[in-house]
Amino acid sequence: MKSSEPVIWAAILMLGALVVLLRALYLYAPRQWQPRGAFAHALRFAPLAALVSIVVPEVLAPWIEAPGAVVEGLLDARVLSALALLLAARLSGNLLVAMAVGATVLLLR
Amino acid sequence: MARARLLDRPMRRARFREGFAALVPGAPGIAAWGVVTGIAMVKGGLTTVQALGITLITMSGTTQLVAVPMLAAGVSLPLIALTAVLTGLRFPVYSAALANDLRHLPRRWRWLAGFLMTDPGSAIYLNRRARERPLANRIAFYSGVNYLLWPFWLVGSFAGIFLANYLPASPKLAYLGVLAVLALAAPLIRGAPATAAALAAAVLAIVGRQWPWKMGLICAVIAGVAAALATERWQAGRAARATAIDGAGP
Repeated sequence: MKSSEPVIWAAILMLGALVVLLRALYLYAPRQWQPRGAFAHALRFAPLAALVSIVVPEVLAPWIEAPGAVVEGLLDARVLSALALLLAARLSGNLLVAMAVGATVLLLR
Repeated sequence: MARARLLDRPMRRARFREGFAALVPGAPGIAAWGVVTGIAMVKGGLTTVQALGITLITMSGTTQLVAVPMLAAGVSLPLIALTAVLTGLRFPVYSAALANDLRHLPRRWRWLAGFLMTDPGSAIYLNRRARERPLANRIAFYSGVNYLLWPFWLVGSFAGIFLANYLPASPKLAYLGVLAVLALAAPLIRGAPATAAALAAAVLAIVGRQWPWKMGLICAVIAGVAAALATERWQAGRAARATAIDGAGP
């Protein structure tokens, strides 16, 4: 852990405040401030884009670190478990089943 | 409308219990998700006390899973805040959808309704709210759903945090957090606009992964949103052309 104890607690308090602010935003804001049109659409897709952009470099790290090693990268536990999770999510439509499959492949590989 | 008065009539109590009942089928899943998140918190580098703190204070699995690896890597607080806002932009969407009902709560209670606002709780409530009349019953139902969700999430998370202390130190266990975020993102990729958003964001995230000040992440989110909006516009244009051709027929 590179962050110091005070920084970690400051981050925890900051995250708590931010999450409550985001969740309660329109419970306090005037009605006319509600998101509409293109902005409302943008709000719908931003979390997906953010989650994907956080997770993809981590999942594809074996290929990013060694671009030539295509097969070795595919057999890496990180890539294999992510592929297994996505496949299970597609087939089962159940988030927990997908997580269980991904975790099993990760830990057994 | 005082909070105490919302629940003092049998009808409202019945709606509160219905809210409880609506969440029960999903409750074990919420607890299991808490276990995974709890393990990822400790294996990601937090102490037990810090992991308990972040769980109690944020009550948002996604925010926790995204923030802990950044803390472990020593990323600055403003960049962690920016990332938390970007991943948490779904909350204002829920907030706007629920505001018509929850805005009627006293101001001092709205923050608590916001604190308890979660993905599964909001989904259950939005599916059912049209059936609940009058407003006080809807609020009682919302409370019933979310008051049960909270303890299940906490019990699961605490179990995961304490269990993690008995598991061996392994980078694979820290990687569980990445898998958990991937599992949260996977069901959101439905339809062409969302697929375009995911692809554009993925490409930009890889290309810009070493750009300073997390510019890669910011550009990836902007590219993802732009790709989704462009795809929606393209789909709407195609549908309009198809309608025009059908209308021009004999």
